[in-house]
Amino acid sequence: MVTSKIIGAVEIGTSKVVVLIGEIVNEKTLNIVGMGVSSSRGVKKGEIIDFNAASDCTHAAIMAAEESAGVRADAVYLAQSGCHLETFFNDAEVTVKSSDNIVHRSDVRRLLSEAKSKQLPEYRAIIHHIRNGFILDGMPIDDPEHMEGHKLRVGYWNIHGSVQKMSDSIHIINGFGLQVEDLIVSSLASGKMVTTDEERKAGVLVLDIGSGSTDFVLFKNGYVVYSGVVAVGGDHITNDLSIGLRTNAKLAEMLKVKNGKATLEPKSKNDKVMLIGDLTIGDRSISRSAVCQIINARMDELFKLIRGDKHIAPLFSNRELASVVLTGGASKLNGIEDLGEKVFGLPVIKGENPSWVASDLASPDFSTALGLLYFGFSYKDESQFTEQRKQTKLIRGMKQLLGF
Amino acid sequence: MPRNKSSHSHRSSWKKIPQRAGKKPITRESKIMRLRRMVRFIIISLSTGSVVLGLSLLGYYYVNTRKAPAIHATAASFTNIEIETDGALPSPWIESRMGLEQNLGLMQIDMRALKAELERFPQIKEASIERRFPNTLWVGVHERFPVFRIKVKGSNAESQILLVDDAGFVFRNIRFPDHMINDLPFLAGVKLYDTEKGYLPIAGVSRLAELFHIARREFPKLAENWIIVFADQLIMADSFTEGYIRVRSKSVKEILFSPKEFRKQLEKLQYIIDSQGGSSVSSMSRVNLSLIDQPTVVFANNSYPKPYQ
Repeated sequence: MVTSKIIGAVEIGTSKVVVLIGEIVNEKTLNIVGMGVSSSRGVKKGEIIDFNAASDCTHAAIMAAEESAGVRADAVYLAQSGCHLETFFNDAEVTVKSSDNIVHRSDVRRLLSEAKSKQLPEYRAIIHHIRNGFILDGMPIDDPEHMEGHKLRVGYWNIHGSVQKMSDSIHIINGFGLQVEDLIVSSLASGKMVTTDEERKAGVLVLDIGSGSTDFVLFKNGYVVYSGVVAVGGDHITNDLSIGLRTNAKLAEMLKVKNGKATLEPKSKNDKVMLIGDLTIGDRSISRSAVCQIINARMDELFKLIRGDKHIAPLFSNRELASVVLTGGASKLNGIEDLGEKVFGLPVIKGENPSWVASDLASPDFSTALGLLYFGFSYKDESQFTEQRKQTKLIRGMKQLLGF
Repeated sequence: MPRNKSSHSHRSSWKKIPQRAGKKPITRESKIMRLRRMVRFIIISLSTGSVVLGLSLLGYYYVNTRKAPAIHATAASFTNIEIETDGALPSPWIESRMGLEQNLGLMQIDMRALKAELERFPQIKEASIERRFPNTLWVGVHERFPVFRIKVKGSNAESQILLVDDAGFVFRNIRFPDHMINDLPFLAGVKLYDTEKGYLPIAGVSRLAELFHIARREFPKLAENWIIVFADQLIMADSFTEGYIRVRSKSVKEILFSPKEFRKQLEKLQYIIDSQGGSSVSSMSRVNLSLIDQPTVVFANNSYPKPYQ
């Protein structure tokens, strides 16, 4: 019997809203069947500041995606970003109870419960409990059950956010008549897409440079060991260019995309670029090096901000990371890898979405939405959506037909 | 946004944030989507309803209007018609009324139409038709037998005689012999209702017929003198076991019967008549048997019998 589920991935970004519709067939295959993109309004630095405007553009994108797919999503996986997100690490240790020092399932359960039991401040709610590896008597292991030892330790990387901010984004999806199946932090979703298992084991820092903010996540030994958000993104470069070159935001954005480069090139010091390029009123020549200097300054600041983070800096000092991967819309900037390598002192590459996605979705703009779909496909707790996954095509077809 | 402190303080997972999918749509797109879903739901509901209704009507039409299947003759044309009747209708008359065409195959005969055609005549109570292969059509006719005759005035003011069977059915005489009809008493005191399908049956005749049958079978001398049976006092009663039946005979002007225990009343009448002897019979003008155990006799012209000495 063929079972399938239609899931939606929604990323409400600062510059655009991306919606992908995927069909999970027999819990084994993920087909991406629909896509909708709309320019974003009412969102600043990844957070919703105008509910109605944000709802308008999000619903337009969902509607476009559902129309292109020809089906209605059963549930939605929603990306979460913004400076309200905070993280902390919490670990716990238990003594193995049995007299023969064999770790039983009850020991593991007790340990996990203990490690997750940290109280949160008011108006905060957990988005992810990300478990790191177990340590049995000081030795890292994947699964301690049936092993012999005295002390069992585990750590959780916890990501939590403001209840108010999360409610706003959830209610936007609810306003379209859809339920949010899971909230996923943007950096985790995109990080999973643009890195390989080997990279994550070796240690990799993923920077998802969006328009309003930059989400980053740090993988080490295959686990998430740190994540965060910096309120600097591509729009800041545009804004800098607009102020520095005395032009409007639209032309500044064009200048950034067409002629922008994150590194300084002494030999192109005298190069000029046209602001508009069609010799209309207002068109004028601008020094290319001026454009690059402005971009370089802002990107340098961003990278140094992240490198200087108290959790990340020691890893660079101890050479515990192997590479840095850039993704997100602003990562398309020319020369950004060179600047990154200079700041981080590590190989920096532009992330690429997996080869199994269609060429339309290969751009880093879609890595977060793809990561959401991938999360819905492979990382979900089975017990949470067994009921829906067991729907046959017939039942789903009837529901689609009747519009429920 | 003001929030109740207690409502959030216990929250630990985002999954405890209440979701409100399905509530009032807030954007144009969500309104369009909801409207589309509603329209689609209505269209599908109506379509399903229409299909179900259409199939029901089709089924109803098929069940109620299907005709006899057109069957092509595979058997040879029938050569014999066997007619059996328990009444007075002669076979040629019945055959002519059937109106069968020549060289018609046995399987081509519409049995239902043929039966209806014969039962159109009120004298025929029931007709049975069978195909008896290889070449015979058998027709059985069960006729109504008259118990009373009734005189009515036709449209041209001429009186005509109709017959009434023991169930109250009124029919025109077809081929019952005159002597048989002339022996029947007249039925009086009833109203006839003429309809397109003939006269409506007369209610209560079965009681009168029962009286007449018993009289004919067990007291034939009495019955053969009966001229008119009046049903008016029986029909006017609340039920056909109340009231009384009035009979005029050649020997007694008025005999009153109760509509029950006919045999007992007839025995009393026979006794009364016998006890009066042959010549004195005509002297009785009224015998009231409706009290059953205490019959009363009224004599005409003071011709009371002499007391016993």
